Amino acid sequence: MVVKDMNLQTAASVISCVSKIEEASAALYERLADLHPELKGAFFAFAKENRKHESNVRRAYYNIVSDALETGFCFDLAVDAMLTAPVLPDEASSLEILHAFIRLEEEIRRFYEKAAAQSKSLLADVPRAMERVAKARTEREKELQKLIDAAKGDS
Amino acid sequence: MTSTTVERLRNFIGGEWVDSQSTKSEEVRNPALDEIIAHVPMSVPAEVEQAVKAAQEAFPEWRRTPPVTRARYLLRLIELLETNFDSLSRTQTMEHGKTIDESRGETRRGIENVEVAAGIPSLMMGYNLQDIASGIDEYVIREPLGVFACIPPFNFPFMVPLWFIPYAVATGNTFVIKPSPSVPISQVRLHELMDEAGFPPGVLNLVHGGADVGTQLMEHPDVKGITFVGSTKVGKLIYKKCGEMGKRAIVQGAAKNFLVIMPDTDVQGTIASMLTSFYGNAGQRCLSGANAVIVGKDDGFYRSFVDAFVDAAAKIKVGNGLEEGIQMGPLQSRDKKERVVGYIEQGIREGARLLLDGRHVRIEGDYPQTCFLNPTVFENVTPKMTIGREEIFGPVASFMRAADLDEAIDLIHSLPYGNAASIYTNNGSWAREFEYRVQAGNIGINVGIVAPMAFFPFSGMKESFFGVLHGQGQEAVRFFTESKVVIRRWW
Repeated sequence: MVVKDMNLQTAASVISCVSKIEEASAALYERLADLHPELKGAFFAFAKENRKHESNVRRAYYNIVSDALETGFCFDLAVDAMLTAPVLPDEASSLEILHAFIRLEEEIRRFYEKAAAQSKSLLADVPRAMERVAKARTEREKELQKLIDAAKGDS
Repeated sequence: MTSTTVERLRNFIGGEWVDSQSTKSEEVRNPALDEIIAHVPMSVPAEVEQAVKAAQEAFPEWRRTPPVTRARYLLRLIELLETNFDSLSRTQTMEHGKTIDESRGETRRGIENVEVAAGIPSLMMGYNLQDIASGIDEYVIREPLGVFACIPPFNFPFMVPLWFIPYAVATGNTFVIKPSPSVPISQVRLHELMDEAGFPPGVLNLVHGGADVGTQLMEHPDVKGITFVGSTKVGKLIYKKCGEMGKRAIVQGAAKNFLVIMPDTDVQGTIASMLTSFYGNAGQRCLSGANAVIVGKDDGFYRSFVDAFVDAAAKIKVGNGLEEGIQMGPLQSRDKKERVVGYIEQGIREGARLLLDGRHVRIEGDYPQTCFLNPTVFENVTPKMTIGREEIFGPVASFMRAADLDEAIDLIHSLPYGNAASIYTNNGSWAREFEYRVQAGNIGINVGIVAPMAFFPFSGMKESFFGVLHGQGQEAVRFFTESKVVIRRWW
């Protein structure tokens, strides 16, 4: 299935995109965790965290959504299809996978940062929830870098 | 889907779902698909009589139910509403046409009213003073009155009744609603959940029908008060009749809301806010922006602002509201679309300049054009023109100019309505002046849809509101109760 690049303007479409991004990346972490036992603990934790991010952003939206808010006009986001359907080859080495994940996490962080900036003061609690996820992604990138350093040290 | 497989909606009377005895029905249509999705019966007078009788019979026992117990029914209802949140939202989109974001917003706002009403043990408290004279105490009790009725509009099929119902029943009254026959399904689903929440039979009743059912409820001697949202013309008749019969009334009428743009405003944020105000709910909202007034003599600012607005409006994605990327759905029906088209044509005839013609319909996806319009923008509009004066209730924005804030406020006051008005500015002094002087019940400062939260009253003034107390919050509690004063002495 070819997932096309998306241009998102409405809150409903962005929240759906958040669900796709977090679920797709969580599923990818879990799949690769099974193939790389040395990364299993970290990857399963990341997957769990992703689903929590999704739940927090979704809850923020459902708690404040109102026809009085600018839900139809608060975004202008171009989203790379890769974010909702990331692909990593099974045969890649741990180092290659970790580098690829850092790049993916950077893209996801930028998505959240942009979404939060665009909707600031227009969507009540949702931009703040997205900023928190972006911050968590910064920490994730650091953790991935530590894993890379450890993997290099071992080899 | 054939009409033979489409549901014929039922009435809810005395705790039972009953097929109407009437042989007459009207179609309920999905405006995006132009398809029949239900049939709504036009109930006969005997059924209205049964509903009021059921409510009247349920009242003594319900009135004796402690407020904290009544609140618990509402808490159960809240749980059911949250569980069915998306399904309720989708129903609103299917029968009204609004986008899924807008429907979810409507569902959330409706639930908020139930949440506020669940605080009734505190909200309904009276007050007292010991020793008004030695050994004599005086206190006030708030008491329910009996049966109330609601005649809601089509534009918020789920939410508007919830400005009233939760407060009415939380305070110990019983209730009969006649949903709008254009959009009755949301209320049927709501009453199914109320039934599931376990409200005693007769506390809540639903009777489908047209204006005749509304009139019968209004004139019924056992109905203590009416809540109505609709046109000013009908609202005035209802308010007058209620006055003659000694009934209470909350009557929310028409609107023609102004958005005033000061030269110091944040343009990007203002435009996003104005797009929501003019085109959210396809403009079918008593809080929708109607006339935008750009203040100041700077022609450059005026032109660049209007051009930026038109440019943004032209890009709005119009289509089936169930699709998440859609920013504006159809009008609720073909008739409503044709009415708006009539106003657009009138605007052209009266000399307003058409900058964006919504009659050129462009829909995302393959849907019949029957109920769709795209956003429309006029400039050089004045309040003397029909489109500058009358409520269009569609996706039409009219631009005007004013030399200064005083002139903008004069423009607002030149019309008889007073529902909402907004100012866009970073200047606190201008904002305060606007808030202080403008005769509108709901004032927005950098807010385009001035929709009060459930714990505030949904206000309105002049020809936009008839009554004393408003729906929602503490005012609704006062509307649905009478003050009984007790002076007490013990020998």
